[in-house]
Amino acid sequence: MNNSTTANIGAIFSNEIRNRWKGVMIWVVSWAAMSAMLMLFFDTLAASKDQLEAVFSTLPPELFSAFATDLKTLGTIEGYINSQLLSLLMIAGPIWAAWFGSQLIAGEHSSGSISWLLVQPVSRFASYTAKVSAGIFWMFLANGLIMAATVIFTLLLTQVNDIPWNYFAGVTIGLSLYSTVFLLVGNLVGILHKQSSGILAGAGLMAFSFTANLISAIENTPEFFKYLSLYYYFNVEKLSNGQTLGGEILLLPAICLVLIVLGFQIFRSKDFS
Amino acid sequence: MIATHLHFGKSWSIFEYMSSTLLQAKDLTHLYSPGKGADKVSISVEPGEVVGFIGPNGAGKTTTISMLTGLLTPQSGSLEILGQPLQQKSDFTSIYSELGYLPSDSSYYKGISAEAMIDYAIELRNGDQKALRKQAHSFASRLDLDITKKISKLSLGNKRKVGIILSIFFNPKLIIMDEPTTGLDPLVQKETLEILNEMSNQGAGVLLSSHNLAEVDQICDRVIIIKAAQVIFSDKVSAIKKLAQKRIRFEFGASATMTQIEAVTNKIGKLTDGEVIVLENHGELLSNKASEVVSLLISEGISEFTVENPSLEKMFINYYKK
Repeated sequence: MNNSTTANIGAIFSNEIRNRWKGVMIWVVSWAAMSAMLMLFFDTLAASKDQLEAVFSTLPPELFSAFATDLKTLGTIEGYINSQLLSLLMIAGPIWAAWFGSQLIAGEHSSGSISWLLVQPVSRFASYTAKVSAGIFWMFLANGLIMAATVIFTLLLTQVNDIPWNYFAGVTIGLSLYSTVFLLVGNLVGILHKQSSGILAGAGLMAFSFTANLISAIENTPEFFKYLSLYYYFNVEKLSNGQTLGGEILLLPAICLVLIVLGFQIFRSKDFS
Repeated sequence: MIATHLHFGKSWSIFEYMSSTLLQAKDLTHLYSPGKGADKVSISVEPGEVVGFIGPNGAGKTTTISMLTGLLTPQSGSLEILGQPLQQKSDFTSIYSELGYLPSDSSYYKGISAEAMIDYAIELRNGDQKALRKQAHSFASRLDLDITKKISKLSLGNKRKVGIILSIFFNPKLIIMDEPTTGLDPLVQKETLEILNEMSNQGAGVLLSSHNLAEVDQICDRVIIIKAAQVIFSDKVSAIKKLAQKRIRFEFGASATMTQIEAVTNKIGKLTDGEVIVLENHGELLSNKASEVVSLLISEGISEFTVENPSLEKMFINYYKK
């Protein structure tokens, strides 16, 4: 890579950061507010943990599993975050990430600005690298900020003093990788077809992953169902039980890599007229 | 060959490239369906030349331009820009530093100001950033554009101005513009054409797709007409005009009698509009019957006799009627 390519990647990357920071901040602030609201109720819930367990134990366990809720850890801050915050974030986040990904290139195609960008003295490799890097950067930053806000609100609004740092670090990394998969799916399908298809593909993958996870929790379901869900590779229950994410999480960066390469192969020869 | 060594804002000179064709497209084809797209379109642009590329909506202008700019892959044909054969999309990257392109749709990043957009374009180019910025600002001033405004707040015409500036501020050797003056007021249209004229005088080649035949007539050296995906005419503007026949108009005065009118119509032709005879096929009339026509004018109460030069628009419409 020569100096000019590096400079071009830098310029496009900076432009992506400038253009998208407002949207990302709205997303982060919304989830931080949600996190703050949830933390207000944690102490009350932790105090009545035993009664809740008694009520919840009458409900099917598959339901809890599907929403990343573990009755044994519900009274802990990790279990509480899993069941109240992450269960929602892992459904809404992928749709947002796929929308974000579809904006990177397909969004420029639908708005028309790609006709300008692609006739600048910049290789398609540089444009693609800069845009995808900026997208990944935002996924990690957005999830990092949401988790950082959750840590702060845990300290401010609950009686928890001992922050489970390993849990938060694991969630931040896992959630960022999980979102990045959807970002890249949105980007890839958007380039292949159009922006709205990118969003739909992301939403479809999320629905499929959620359903596969739900089915896999049902008794006597063939084991392979759990492998079809991204929840298996980013297992937040493991984290709340004091374990690490495990080797399964490595599949997410591998999927990301494949999606990045595939996206570039399509983009490099794609007609944009 | 031009002997003088004229320098421009960049390191190239007119002497350097005056002898080579800037754009040479041969039989470029990209058909979406029969007659839709571009079918064996050949175009060339020489240094210092302004070529008009005209045709109605859907004739294949934008498809052709998309192929010329590397946004669309031709199904067949060959393309050479600045002496470089272009076969794959990656081949285009190096020529983009010398190619100014204005797409038909002026869409840029809405959330930023025109100035930030220009700065971004400058950032993506090698060269003296200060000089490029100065040049861009000078064009903005000539086109009467307030660059501090956000792009989303600009009118269609002002967005067009941003596009024009972005396509020329770096003194490209080849400029391809798709409907450059759409949405511009007459004064800015004139200024835009003047800028293009200056750039072509400095040696740049310009390919201008337009619906505005008056502007093509005014600025272009050569015109290419495309119809149903195929080029049907390509020659100098003066050549297309020579092909056309002048119109002769005879208008009777209010005092002319029916006998007088009949005397003229019997010799020349029928009334076409009230008390007016308009002749398109004047060639024979003027060469063989000139004395007859003149004596008729004197004797039969014709108040006006005019020979009208054909406009490019008229020629264009004639071509399309064929």
